[in-house]
Amino acid sequence: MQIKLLPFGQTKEILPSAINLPEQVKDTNGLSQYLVDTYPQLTRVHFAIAVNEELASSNTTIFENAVVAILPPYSGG
Amino acid sequence: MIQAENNYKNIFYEGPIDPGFIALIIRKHQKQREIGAHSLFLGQVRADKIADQVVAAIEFSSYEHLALKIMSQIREEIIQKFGLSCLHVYHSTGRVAAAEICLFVFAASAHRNAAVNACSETVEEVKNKLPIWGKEWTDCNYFRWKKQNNPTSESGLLMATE
Repeated sequence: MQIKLLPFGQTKEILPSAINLPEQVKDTNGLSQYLVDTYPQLTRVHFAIAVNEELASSNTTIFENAVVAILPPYSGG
Repeated sequence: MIQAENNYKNIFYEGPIDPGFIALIIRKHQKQREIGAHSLFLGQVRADKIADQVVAAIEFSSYEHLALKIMSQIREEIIQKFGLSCLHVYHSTGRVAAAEICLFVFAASAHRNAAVNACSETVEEVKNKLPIWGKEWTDCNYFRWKKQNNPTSESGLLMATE
């Protein structure tokens, strides 16, 4: 499955912007696990996920062409 | 799909916030006769010491559209909760040097307490809920990703590779 990945902050230095997910990845929990396994540098970064501009507060299904943002802890202000 | 939602009020200001701009915003409210109190918060980049280096600038980036969407919800809630006449928020994007202003919050209401409390609560919300990231650059061109309430004991500086 092809999704658009929007990594922010320090995750932008680790992740690509488009990614082809293996079949078994269908939701945000699966995606987190896949990203951490594929990009081990992510292990030391806490991050939240937003799917199509909605924060995923619980496990959320990801569909083809979804825009999935990777959000490390905010530090504005 | 998200076209219709593109009218969120912009809060992003390219580079450091000019004190003249702040004066201009104050001036704009000089015709509103129902206002009795303004409360302003200005966040300024502090030259924190990290190990033997000093923060020279913070480079801000954001998930702009999501930030505007969340800010618009926060704004509505706070205006309603405190009965404000208006609430303005400006946050820098890009590089802001130490001793320059990167956040400007302006709350106006009929009475003092509402303005002061609304301003303070808005600053908290901006810091906690908006998808904005600061990258701290030192005078030696090392960097680290800013954390809220960063312990000064922890350095974690990295050398720039770009």
